Amino acid sequence: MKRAKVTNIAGIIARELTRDNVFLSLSGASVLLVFASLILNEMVVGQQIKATKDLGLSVLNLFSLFIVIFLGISQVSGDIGGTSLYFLFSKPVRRSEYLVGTAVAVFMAVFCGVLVITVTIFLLSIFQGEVWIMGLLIAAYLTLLEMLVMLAFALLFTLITSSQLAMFLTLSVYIIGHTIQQAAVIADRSSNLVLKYIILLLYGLCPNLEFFNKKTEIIYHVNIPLSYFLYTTVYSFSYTTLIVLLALYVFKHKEI
Amino acid sequence: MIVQNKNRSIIKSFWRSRNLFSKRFLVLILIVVFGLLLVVSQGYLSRHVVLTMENKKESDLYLPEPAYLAFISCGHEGLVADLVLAKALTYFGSHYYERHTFGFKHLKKLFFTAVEMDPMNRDAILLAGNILGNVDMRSAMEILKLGMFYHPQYWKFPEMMGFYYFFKLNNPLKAAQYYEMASRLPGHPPYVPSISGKLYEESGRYGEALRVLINFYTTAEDKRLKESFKQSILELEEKIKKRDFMLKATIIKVLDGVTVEFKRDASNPQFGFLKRVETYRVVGPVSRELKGGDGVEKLAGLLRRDYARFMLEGADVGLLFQRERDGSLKRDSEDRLMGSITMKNNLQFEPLSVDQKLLEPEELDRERIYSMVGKTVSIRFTVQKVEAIGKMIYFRAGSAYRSRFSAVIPVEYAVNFETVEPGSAGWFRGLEGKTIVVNGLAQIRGGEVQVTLYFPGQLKEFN
Repeated sequence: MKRAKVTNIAGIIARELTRDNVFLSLSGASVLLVFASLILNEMVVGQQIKATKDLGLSVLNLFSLFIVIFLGISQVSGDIGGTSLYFLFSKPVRRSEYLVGTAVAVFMAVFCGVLVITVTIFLLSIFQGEVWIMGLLIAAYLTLLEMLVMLAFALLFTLITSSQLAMFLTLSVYIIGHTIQQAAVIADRSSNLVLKYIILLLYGLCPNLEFFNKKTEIIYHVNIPLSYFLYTTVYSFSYTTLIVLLALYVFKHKEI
Repeated sequence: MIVQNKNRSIIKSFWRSRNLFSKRFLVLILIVVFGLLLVVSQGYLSRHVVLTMENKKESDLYLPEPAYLAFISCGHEGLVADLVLAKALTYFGSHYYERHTFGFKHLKKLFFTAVEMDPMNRDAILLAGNILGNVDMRSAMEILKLGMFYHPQYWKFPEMMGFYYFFKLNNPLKAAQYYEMASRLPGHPPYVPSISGKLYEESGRYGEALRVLINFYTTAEDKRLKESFKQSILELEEKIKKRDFMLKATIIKVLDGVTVEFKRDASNPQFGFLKRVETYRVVGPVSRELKGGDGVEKLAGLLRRDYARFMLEGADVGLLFQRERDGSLKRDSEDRLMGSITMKNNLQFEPLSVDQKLLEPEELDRERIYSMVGKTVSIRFTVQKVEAIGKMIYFRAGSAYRSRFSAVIPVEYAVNFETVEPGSAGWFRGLEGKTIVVNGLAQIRGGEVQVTLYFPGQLKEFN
């Protein structure tokens, strides 16, 4: 796998993705949603801009997820279903280079989206009288790590099923990933042994996306140790690498 | 005009062609029919929705349990909590004017859900405690206890509990316990411990009050705070001393504004030597009867008698006797016992009469200055000089007493007086040569007797 080829593929696809109407509409809608927090702020008690922070961080997270689901999956499934891959693979480009290049491109699109939302929230916080920067950067970083994992799953599902089913499965992983921790608590209390072991198995296999959810700590200025960021980074990269390797294996044996 | 003519020509062309099933005609018919149906159905549905909402106003509000909501929120609990809180506030606002009819059935659940979803939001808990306090006191207490559970180091929750126990539930002892709890937590303002002491005092738990105050006196680091606690301790010790020498009695007759007949409480053996019914002259070291010509004195006497009858006749009171040097009870030439009367809630009859202008505060007396030390006094004197020395503003009494009596205001408290009269320094200086009345605890400092003033109510110009 040559880095130059991956970079070229990623650059081309990223340009295509950021000009995509879906990307632009999602970005526009997210920015509008963040602005809606101005109304919610009037009705919520707490810190001065608590609603902006709450809504902003949720929009940041969900918007990134939608980019992964809509752009990532449609890009790969479109390429596989169409004829562009025939031309591409007739050149000296390996399948792994294409897949990694696509993943990098989608991640770049996610990064651009996160940047847009982060800047919007930051400007809005200044407008409301509080310079909120550190917490916002931490949230953006953790969101990017989370989306890395989601992107790996999205690619894997796109390669093994149809695009609609892949979207559904990716969304399911997101929901399971955020609820698995509570499910583990329920399993721990459950007297049903079968249920208990199923949940524990799921807990072991599924990604625990709550590791990337530190919204409460960020909003209420609770100190997060530096080692925590290190471990979440390691966790995210390890999980992503494993899933991408699996996806590469599937893609290598897939008939196009 | 052109459009109208065009429409007319279309209709005419339909009519002339007699082709009722032409494509254009069908489209027109469909538009009209479905337009009408839309208007009718919309009208019906809107009415139905309004009716349903009215019926449902107090019966149904679907709100899942907080744990379930947290589960399905997929890590966005904060946002969901914000939305539930906004719903709670709009619910409160929309039901406020109908509260007597419908009440606030779902308010508790909404607030509890919002708090359980985002327990870190302390302001939301305080707001819920505040709003529920006006609606349902038990729920307010529950939510504040929840706040104390999640934030055991935050002083405002026990403080609010104490406030409710005192002002709404009329339970000063419980209130004192919560204020004491609040005063042990970091960040509490200086008034909290003194309130806990006062409330213990209010509930008759003098020992508890003294313990709390001494504890705060010894642990306080701020000099001003220490002084304030010291003052409270001295006042309380005086009260305890009074209580120990106080006789419980019932006033059976008011003879005049300052003389009453009382029946003693037989349970106190210390006063067993007294007759069952005694006459008592209300006179302390701080006041005297009004003087004046043209019947003023007589009129004041009548007013004082009526006031005393209203306040005292039939009342259970505490009597604190004046004593001779040998410790025996002091009697005047008419064999009346002498002393002060303490009514319910620790109110002193004599200062109340002074407030009502039925008695005059006693003018400073050379012989009595040192006998006042340790007592709460109300003294009248002419200010010879106002001077600021160090951190105190001194109101010097007449030249004969210069080195023996002053009223003092700590500089940092001068701002309290400024709010009453702008331009404090000027105003204080303006009192030179005037007669003033000061109320407070008499203490010895630097060889002179001083009354320290903290609040405007302790200082009045004598008219």
